[in-house]
Amino acid sequence: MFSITPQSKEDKLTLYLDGTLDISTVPDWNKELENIEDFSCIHLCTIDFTYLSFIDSTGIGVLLDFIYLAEKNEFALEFENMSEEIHEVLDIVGIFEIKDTVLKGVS
Amino acid sequence: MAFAGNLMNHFTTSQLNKEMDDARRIQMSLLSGEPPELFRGSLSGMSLPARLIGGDYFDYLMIDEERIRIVVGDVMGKGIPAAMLMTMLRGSFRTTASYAGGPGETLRKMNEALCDDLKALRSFATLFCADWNVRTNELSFANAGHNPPLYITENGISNLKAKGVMVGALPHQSYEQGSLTLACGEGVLFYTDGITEAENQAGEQFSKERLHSLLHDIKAFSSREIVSKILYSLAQFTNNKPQNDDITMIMLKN
Repeated sequence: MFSITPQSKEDKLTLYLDGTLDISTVPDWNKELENIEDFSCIHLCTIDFTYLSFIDSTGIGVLLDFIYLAEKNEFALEFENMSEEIHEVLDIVGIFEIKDTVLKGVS
Repeated sequence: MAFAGNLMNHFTTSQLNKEMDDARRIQMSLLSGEPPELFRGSLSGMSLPARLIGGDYFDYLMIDEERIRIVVGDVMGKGIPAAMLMTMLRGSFRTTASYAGGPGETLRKMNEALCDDLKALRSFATLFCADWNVRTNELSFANAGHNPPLYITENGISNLKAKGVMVGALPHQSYEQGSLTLACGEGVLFYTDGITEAENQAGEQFSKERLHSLLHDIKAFSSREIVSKILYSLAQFTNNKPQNDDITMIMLKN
């Protein structure tokens, strides 16, 4: 089970993730993102991981894709409220370093 | 017409099944090479895909008379797409390992070679590479986003720590190199997260804690025995629950 609850305020968008993000739920991520049609007017997107319980390599792949989407649409990206376990997994693969490098010019 | 259609479907399905069997046979033969003969210590490795074929990779290569280069990796995803990318990793490692100076340089060159393709395919791989010198007992190692291997000693079990970004996300990466000396009886388990994330019928994961505890109990055995006991323990834990992810490990013991 996986869902995204989007909340927007002016040019800021927050995506609240809930459930597990793995090979079986990545289609749900893609479907949910399709509902957010236009990223061009967003300046800051925050992904809230409070209710994300598990992420596998396919889930990490969609986060990587989202970093490239932020680069293309020139919006800043922040990750918030992740558990120690998920933070450790993302830190080992280098996702924070990738985010900071790819989005260096985006404020 | 319906009969012809059914026949065509049957032919296509059986052809596809045959090709999948061939693909599995090829991948298993690429992964199941016997470790080189060592005059000290022992090595044992295995890989068990979650589907017919998988995206995990392990390999070892003698690079001179004293040093053996070991690699373990995990391509994003599972099944046929991951397996196709796994063969790219193998080709790149086999080419690079023969001339790169150390594990850090091996990973740097593999990232240079694969980065554009992996990025275009919206994929990535994690890799851990190590050189073991059988004369000096020195193990040098570097990491490209892979879960850290476990260093098993008389006094406990710890992670082999080295930082580095996954292969396929950023070009021009350098990979820091660590090293240690393996005392007699000490070992290192290189593995993929399919082991710690294997689930039982209640949905609990095997977990790092269970793996640490198991290794503590079986550390006196040979490499081959340790690998076999981990597999047995996983089978008991999962109790026929279908495997979620590819499982791969290499055990090195001095």
